[in-house]
Formats: sequence, C-alpha cells, structure tokens
Amino acid sequence: MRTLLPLMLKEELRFHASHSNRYIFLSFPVIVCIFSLATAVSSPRLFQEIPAERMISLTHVSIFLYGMSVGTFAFLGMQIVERRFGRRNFLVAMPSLLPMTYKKTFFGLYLRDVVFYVLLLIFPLMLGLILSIPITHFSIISITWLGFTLLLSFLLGMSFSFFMSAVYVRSTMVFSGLMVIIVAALGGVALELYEVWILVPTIQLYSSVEPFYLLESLFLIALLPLVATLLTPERHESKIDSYKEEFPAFEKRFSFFKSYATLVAKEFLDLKRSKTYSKMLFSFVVPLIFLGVTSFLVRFGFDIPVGFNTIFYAAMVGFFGILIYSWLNNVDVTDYFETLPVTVPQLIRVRLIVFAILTLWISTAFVIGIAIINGDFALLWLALLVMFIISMYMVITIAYLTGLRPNTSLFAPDVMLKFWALTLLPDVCITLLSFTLYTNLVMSVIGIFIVCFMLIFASIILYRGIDRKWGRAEFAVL
Amino acid sequence: MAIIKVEGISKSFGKTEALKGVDLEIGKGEFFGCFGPNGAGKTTLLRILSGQMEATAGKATILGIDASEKPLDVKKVVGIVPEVESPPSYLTGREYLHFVGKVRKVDKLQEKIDYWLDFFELNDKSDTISRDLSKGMKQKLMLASAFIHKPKLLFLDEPFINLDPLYQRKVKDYLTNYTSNGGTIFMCTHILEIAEKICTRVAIINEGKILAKGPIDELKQKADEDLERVFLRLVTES
Repeated sequence: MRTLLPLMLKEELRFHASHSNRYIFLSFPVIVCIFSLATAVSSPRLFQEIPAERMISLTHVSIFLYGMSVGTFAFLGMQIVERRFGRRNFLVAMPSLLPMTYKKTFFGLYLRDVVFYVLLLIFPLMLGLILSIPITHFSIISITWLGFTLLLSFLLGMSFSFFMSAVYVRSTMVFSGLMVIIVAALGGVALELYEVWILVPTIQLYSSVEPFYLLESLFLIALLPLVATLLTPERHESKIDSYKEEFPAFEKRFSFFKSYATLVAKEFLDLKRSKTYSKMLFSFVVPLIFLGVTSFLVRFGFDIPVGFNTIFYAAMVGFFGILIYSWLNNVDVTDYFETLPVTVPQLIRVRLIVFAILTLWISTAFVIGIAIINGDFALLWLALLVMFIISMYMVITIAYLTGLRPNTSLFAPDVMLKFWALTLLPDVCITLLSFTLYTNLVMSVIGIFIVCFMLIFASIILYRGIDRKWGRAEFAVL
Repeated sequence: MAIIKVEGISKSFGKTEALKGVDLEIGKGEFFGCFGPNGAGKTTLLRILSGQMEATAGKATILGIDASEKPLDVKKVVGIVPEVESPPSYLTGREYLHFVGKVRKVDKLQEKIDYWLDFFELNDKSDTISRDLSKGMKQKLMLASAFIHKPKLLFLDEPFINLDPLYQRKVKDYLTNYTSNGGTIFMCTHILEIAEKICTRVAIINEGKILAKGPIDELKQKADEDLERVFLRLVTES
C-alpha cells in the first residue's frame, strides 16, 4: 500500500487537473477556506434564527451525507474495472494484469479519497473557521473539536457508503434487505423510539464529549471499510445475459419527445440494463428520507421553534437533484457519439429531460410527505412551485457549467465558484423568506415569487447558453 | 471537385503540436491511406476531417462542407469508424444499428439492419449487449454502423484491427467494391501489407507533417524500394 497509495493520489490529482489545470485545481482548497471563513463570520446572524447546537447537528448530518455521496468505492471500482471510462485506465484495475488483489486496490481507493477529501475539503474548511477567530471569538478548542467530529462524520458517511456499495456488488438481494432495515431504522427515529445519534454517533460525540461515542465512531469507521474490502470480489467476470429487443418499444413510449425520442429511449434503456436505477434510489431517496426525519425531529422531537417549513424543504430538494444528474453522466462512455450527427448540447438536453422524468415525481411525493408530517398544507402549492423551479434551475445550472462531466468538472475551482454563486444565493434567499412566512405572509410570498421568477428567467438564459458553451465540445474523454 | 480538401491544417494540444500545416486533396473514388508511426498525427487528422475535432488553424472542406464551421453536417454525410471500438455498452447489436439508423434517418432500416447483421454474422449475438461482445464483434458492429447509411465518404481508423483474416478479407473486398462504385475512403492504418494492396494513394506522416504523398507505385518507383522500406526510411530520416 505504501507504493500504491502515493501513486493513486498522484493519478487522482492528474485526473482532476486534466479538467482545468494543476494550479487552478490546487486553488480549490483556498476557495473552500474563504467560503468557510465567510460563513463563520456571518454565523452570529444565522444563530439568531437557528440555535447553534441544532446548526452544528445539521452540519454533522450534512457532512455525513456528503461522505456517503462520495464513498461508493465498490461501484466506482467496478466501473473502472469494466473500462467504462473510455480510453482511460486506472491503477485500481491493475490486478487484472499484475500479481495484486482487487481487495487491495479497492481499499486503496478508499484511503486515497480519505486523504484527498480531507486535504482538499475538511482541512480548508477548518482553517476557514480558525481564521475567523479574531472576528467571531470562537474558542480554538471548540473549533478543533468540531473539526475532529466533523471529520469523523465525513469518514463515517464514506465508510458506510463503501460498505453498502460493496454489499450491492455482491448481492442486490442483501442490499435491498439492508435498505429496508435502514428505512426502518430512520422510521424508528421519526417515531421517537431512539435518537438520531444512535445512527450517527459522531453527533452525540460532539455534544457529550464521552469516550464511548468516540470509540463507537472509530470502531464503525474501521469496521465498515474492512468488511467492504473483504466483500470485494477478486473475479470481475460479468455473466453474459440475453436481452430481448426493447429499443423500438422504448422509442415508441417516448415518441412525444419527437426529435429527442431516440436519444431519450436509449438513455432509459441504459439506465434499466445497467441497473443504475437502484444506485440512484440509494443516492437520492436516502438523503431525502434523512431530511424528512430531520424535519420531523426538528418539529416534534426537539420541539425547536425554528421556521423550517415545507417551502424550506422544497428548496433543499433541488440540491439533491444534482446527484441524479451526476449518475446520468456516469452510466456509460459516450465516445461513440463522435461518429454520429449528434452534438454534446443535444445529449445534455436529453439528460435534462431524463432527469425531469426520473426525479420530479419523487420530489413531489417528498414535499407532500413533508407537508403531511408538519401539518403544513396551506402553502403546499407554493412549496411545490418552489421545488419544481429550484430543481430545474439547479440541474440546468450544473448542466450548463459542467456539461457531460459533472463529477470531475466541479472540482475545477472556477466552475465551483460559479456554481456556488449561481445556486447558493437563490437558495439562501428562499430559505430566509421561508423563515418569515408566518410573521409576514404577504411580503414573504411576494419575495418568493420574485426569486422564482428570476430563477425561471436565469434557467432560460442558461438553457439557451448550453449551445454556445458546449456546441464544439467533444464526447470522447481523451 | 475534391471530396476532401485540406489547406494548412494545424492542431495544438497545449504546447504539443500534433499537426503542422497539413495540405491534402483527395478525389472521388480514391482509397487514400494515411501511414505513420505512433503519435504521428494520423488519428488527429482523421478526427479533424470527420468533424470530431476542431483544428487550431487551416481549413478542411469535406464534400463541399467546411468541417470547422459545420462539423454536424459533415457527420451527417460521412461514415466513421473510430480508433477504439466502443459501441454503447447496454444496447444489443441490433438495437445499436436501429439507434444509429434512427439518428441518421435511414430509410428501409429494418432491411439494412438485417443485411449488415447477416454480412458480419452477428445474428447469433443479436440479443447480447455490446459490453459482452468480443473486441472483434464490437469492431464489426462499428463497421456496420458506419456503412448502414451508404455514405459517399468513409473515415476509417485502423478498420482491420481485431478482425480475423476471414473478415479482413471480407471487409477489404467490400471497401474495394465501394470505391469502384464512386465511394471515397480516408483510412489510417499500421498494416502496410493491406494498405499496399488496396490503397490507390497514400500519405506518410510523422511528427505532424506529411513526408510524402502520391500513388503507391509512384512512391516505390521513385526510390526503387517496397512500401515498408519507403516508410521506414522516410520516418527515420525525418
């Protein structure tokens, strides 16, 4: 591992740097640090709306979910082994040629990303908080402790995701069974049978500072990747299945998309046969369930009088849609499109259509569910409107900025900065307006309408801009 | 009118100059071969001419269409076989040809799909998704997808690679017949023996420059050498 890990880190750095350049890429942590500093400086205002303790718990949950979203190493490893990255090949696939095991290279992927994300994200985040001390007068000890517990939350999320993806690779049946258990466990939290920190112990560790929770967290962080590594198969021979001809039927089903019908049909057939649906479900629905449980707890469990209402959650859903767009661009290589009269903007539009078909009904169900949990029906119509507009705005923005490579392009700092500027501001506006809904209904609704109108306008501009920005882009990842 | 007209095409990837002012003219019915060592710029040239990549400088006109201005129009009228066989992983061979035919708006599609699956004897594997096909079968599928709309011009990058001798022969015969009927081919290959037999004119390229071009017999007569020796001498001297 001493030879493999540094090489894997070098490989990852070069891979990401190939999408911008080495120096621009390395400025990414600087931007994270500045963002963290700005958030810390403005935190006193935020703490007036949300209690600091609750805010810190939510940050732990968020970073745990983020860790989950980047930790599906067994999926990622399999994709590389199956050569779904076109002409690129990576060290993780070397056991097919060299006397080494996939267990070792898959575990190497995990370690690589631990180092990568800690250096690029967690440390700069903490540095930003530390730099804010002269203004915020936060205690250095409490910031260090927060940084440590956030790091554990992130690692726990990554480890859990690695474990779940390894289970999926071994057996979809067992994976489905585990998913049922997870949903049931979240249901237990919602029904107040136990606290949320039973599932994410790092939250309790932060507030209690008890060694037991530290040991529990460390034990889980060590155990889950270990089991995942042991579950990694050494043979990657996909069995050859027979498939009946389905493409014409799919094309007919989507015929109302006229000139896009052929491409939309192909995307859906790809999703079906690559079994990406279940992966998407995992990465989209689980965070939504988490969010739903948090909503329930905030309202009834902790009885915290904050203004989290259905509109606040509707705005949050839009962010998760980005995960689905990433998955859509991770199903298969697109090199063969180079030989056909199809452009990159056409394929981006097709994926936006697929995104809308796949997610909007789930998001709608989620927002209605949140309204039921909170008994908050009066403004459900507005929440649904906000959810539709923000979801489409977010995905159009990510499509405009990153084209067909959202996973890698977002690490280019210039792209990341634009993304934050374009998405954070409207989301913060909607969030703040949603907090004041019950104190000044008319002004809040007018404000939300104005923001929504601006987002529709921006969506149209960005959607039209896709042609100009990506018209000459190439499909092939060289 | 020249089917392919290339004037001063250059291409840079950062500081690396892949092509340095290439000029070329290819007429109707020609079987044009482009040879060169690894990294000479052959594939880059093919990708620029077929509208897959934009040149840094110069102009390429394909069937009267400016490849830089209207790459999509070029792709509509040509057939392309890329260097790497990469049909979409989750479509069967039949479905991929159906997909290509629909994108290219091919008439009597079913008939043509049947013909090409039969030509390459892919019928037995018509219910297998491309991911599970052998390299040779994937290559056959890419060839069929380039031929299915009967284009006037074919761009072929190492078309014989991964094909067994039987299919090398079959494809060679098809391509020779294709040019006899007025079709034009631009082919990049390393296999000099095949090229020597089927190409009407060739260019030898190295380090982004064309070292020599002309009919094979002419090149051989000039130096009184076989094509392999001409190739090795020019590349070594350059």
